[in-house]
Amino acid sequence: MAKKPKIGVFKLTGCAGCQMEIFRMEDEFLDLIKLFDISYWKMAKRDNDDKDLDIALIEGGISTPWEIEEIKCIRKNTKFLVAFGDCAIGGCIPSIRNWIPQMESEEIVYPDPSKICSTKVHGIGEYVKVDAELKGCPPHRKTILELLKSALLKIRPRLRQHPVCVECKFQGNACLITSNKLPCMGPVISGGCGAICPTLGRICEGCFGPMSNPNASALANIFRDIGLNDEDIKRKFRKYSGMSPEFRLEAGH
Amino acid sequence: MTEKTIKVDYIARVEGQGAISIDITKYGKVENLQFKIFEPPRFFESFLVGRKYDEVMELTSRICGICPVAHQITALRAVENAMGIVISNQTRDLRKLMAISARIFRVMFSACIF
Repeated sequence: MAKKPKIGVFKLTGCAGCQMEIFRMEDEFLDLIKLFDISYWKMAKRDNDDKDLDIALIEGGISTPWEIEEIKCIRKNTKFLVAFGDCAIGGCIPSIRNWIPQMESEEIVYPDPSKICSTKVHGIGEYVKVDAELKGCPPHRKTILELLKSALLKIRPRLRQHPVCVECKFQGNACLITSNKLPCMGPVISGGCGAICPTLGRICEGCFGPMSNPNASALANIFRDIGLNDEDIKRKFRKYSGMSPEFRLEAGH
Repeated sequence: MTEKTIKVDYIARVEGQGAISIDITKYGKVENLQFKIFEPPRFFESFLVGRKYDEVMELTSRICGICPVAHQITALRAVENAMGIVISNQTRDLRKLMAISARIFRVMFSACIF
């Protein structure tokens, strides 16, 4: 039998929710352990080795100087580097504070910020070459499985490019924008979640990040027609992927 | 005199972003205990300023991926306290159920993995 691919799971500035999503692949998890050699995963095992990895899943963005060093070191030791989740792609929710002066943020949280060594949050793509992106906060387990399966077969993973609207239609939902006049982010947000929120009558908040080539300004105009003001629109686009080039105008760069 | 030192370089329960070192004397007395958390700060308290009240529970649930429900329910209570909202018994019971099931999941998860 061929050598098992070595896989590493790393956490930077994130919440560990994406790593939890791997654990939640309950039916497939035991098969994965058989097929992969998990050589680095601090959350799950004691002895970790980060040398010569075939796949590295990076969770979390970069917000400290030593994380920049760490991600460059991981890149050097890895063949296939995956930005695992929204934080690793563009900073996700912590990136909302990129619009607040750093000193102001630190003073709100810490009585003595002199020991804090933190920078603005960026995705790992800001510092190193990324081979694949798994969108989502957290990514859906089926997407993770698709990526790992493709890695075993040595083929390109089929990651979704379509908006949430496609999956919403598959569920047979009425459109929340046209019928209820609610500011749903679905038309510009990448699918992959199975349109969970719109199916429950809740608008899409955008946790999967921008779809491929979205028309964000057109959606912003629709929001204006519904009755949102410019501040509301900015807030909506700044939530999960304000740092992304697709949403930069609407997020107010 | 230190007889024994227990050293854990990264604690899996806090996602590997904490360390603990305990020095114990011959007589079983703890001489020195150091607990380090090296998780980078994310400044939730600062960026929540200026967000809308109905976004708070969604944003705070991202504080921790292992226990999102605890943060979500706490955030809901904070907003309700601030606005003087009294919730029905049914809502309170439902939240309690959700919190308990989240705790069962977390304990089961810890028992299985670590």
